[in-house]
Amino acid sequence: MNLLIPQSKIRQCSLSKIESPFFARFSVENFLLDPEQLPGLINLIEHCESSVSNCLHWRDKARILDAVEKGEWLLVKDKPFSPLSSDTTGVYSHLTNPSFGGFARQKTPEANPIPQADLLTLPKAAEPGFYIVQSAMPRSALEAFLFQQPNEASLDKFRVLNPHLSDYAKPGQMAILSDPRNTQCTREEAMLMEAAAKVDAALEPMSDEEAAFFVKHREEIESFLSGGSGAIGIGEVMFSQHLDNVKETLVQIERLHQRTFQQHGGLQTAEFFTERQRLLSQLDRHLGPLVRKGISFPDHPKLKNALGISSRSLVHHWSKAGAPGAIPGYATHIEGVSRAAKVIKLGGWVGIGLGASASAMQVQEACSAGREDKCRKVALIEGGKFAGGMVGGAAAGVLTGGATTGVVCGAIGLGTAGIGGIACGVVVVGGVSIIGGSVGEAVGEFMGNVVYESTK
Amino acid sequence: MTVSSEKFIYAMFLLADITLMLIALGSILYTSYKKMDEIIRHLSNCRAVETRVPFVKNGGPIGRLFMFSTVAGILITPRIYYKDNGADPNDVKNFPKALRRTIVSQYWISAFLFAFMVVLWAIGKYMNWLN
Repeated sequence: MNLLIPQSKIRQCSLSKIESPFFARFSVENFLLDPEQLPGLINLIEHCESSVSNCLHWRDKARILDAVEKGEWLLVKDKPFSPLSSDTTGVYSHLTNPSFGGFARQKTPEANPIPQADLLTLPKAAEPGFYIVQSAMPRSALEAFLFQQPNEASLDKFRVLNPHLSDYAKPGQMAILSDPRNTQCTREEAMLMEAAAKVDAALEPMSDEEAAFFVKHREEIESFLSGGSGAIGIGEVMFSQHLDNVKETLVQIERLHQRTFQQHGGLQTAEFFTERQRLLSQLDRHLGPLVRKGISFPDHPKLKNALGISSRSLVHHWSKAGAPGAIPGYATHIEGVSRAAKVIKLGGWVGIGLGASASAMQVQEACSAGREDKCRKVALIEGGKFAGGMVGGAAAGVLTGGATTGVVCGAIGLGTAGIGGIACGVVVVGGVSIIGGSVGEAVGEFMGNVVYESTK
Repeated sequence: MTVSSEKFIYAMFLLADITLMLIALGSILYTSYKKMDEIIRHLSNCRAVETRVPFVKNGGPIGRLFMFSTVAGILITPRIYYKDNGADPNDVKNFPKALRRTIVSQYWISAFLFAFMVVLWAIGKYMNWLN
């Protein structure tokens, strides 16, 4: 017999019959497909302000499962897989050692809650940093993703610093990370929280999908906004220059091997080693800028070690957050970048939508005046204008996006591939589409007028 | 007020041109949605295509049209793309003939219709019929 009970009723059951919240989560997740099969689950669903029909919606589901994982609701089973009574690690001590009055015992703060990972390696507390959420996920999943070996002190600190990550984390949000040995709220942590609030405000109007798009393309969009297309062009030229240098150095290394082998029948000569060393350091120099290009904010390995964060997650130093009034960083251009991402995501629909709504407004205004004749005239003229503008703009864009762009962008040294070529292509296509759209609008308007005149 | 016969004929040409352009753009969009995966697969070694793949994934119809125009550019004037290794000669050579014919003909039909529209616009401007 399975049963779900609120935490307040924990004393009514034996701890040996209560499943560990970690495993309970998975069982409850299965029961969500048919909540009536698990007594108490409907109460939990209602407690989480959801309903039986909506409980599989991912946000509601995340809230429900979070309550189970946090131990706010407990799963009672005849044969639990990992009963609370065998919780020797103390992870669920707030459930297993309830104090008088049914309240969980307040944990006395440890004098120096040093995570085990850094006892030997880090004599000083690591400076705070942040992680940029890459995809939408429930808060508990983010914690599990970041902290491979969860440590109570680290998690507590994480929760205190991240009140903005309420139920789930949105792509682009900043998750603030700090060494639990930073016992006071430091200036850096306050700045990080300020930057996180700024980021949240910028991300608020975006859907999860748009925010994910923003995170993926932030660097490109930001370089557009902060440096302008000229900077991208220069960057592109430098980029290809470096690639050529790398290629040249690799060819030289290959030739050196062949030459030495032909001359000496082997590679064991001092001259070979000196020359190879020189070429390898040259390769390092040329590779450096290429490798750095893709990574705007460097990693903060000290903090990752201190908190036991997985090596695949990129954690950044607090100084890269770009809090208001501080060194420019992630939050500095966030508003512009998020707006641009939204517009780019919507693509030409924005232009088409604006054109359509402008035409529709004109028609509506004329028609609401009650003059049928004028209403028809405006509808035909505006309809023709919109249709002409749309096909003119789109056709001009399609026709110039290929060879014309290649010639124009090639002539100014940006080429056909790479981000410089693409940026140039978008600008050329955009410009020509506007001209094509204007031509289309002019002829479309005339066409609508003639159709009206000849049919009235 | 009645419309002069010249203006009427002119407007009918415009109507036909715009209608045909809508059909042509529709067919390009059809290719861009239904055949794009195949196109990208056949041009997988072309940097100009590779770098524009995010536009197909995230750019909606406009992003797909942008990619279509690049592909048409590569198939019609590959030399421009060879200059900076934007296209791979083997990929262009081995591109399926039927698909190449479809893309190229869609491109030229749109080009002709757009050019005709520009000519009509120039006539309208010359005759002082347009605003």
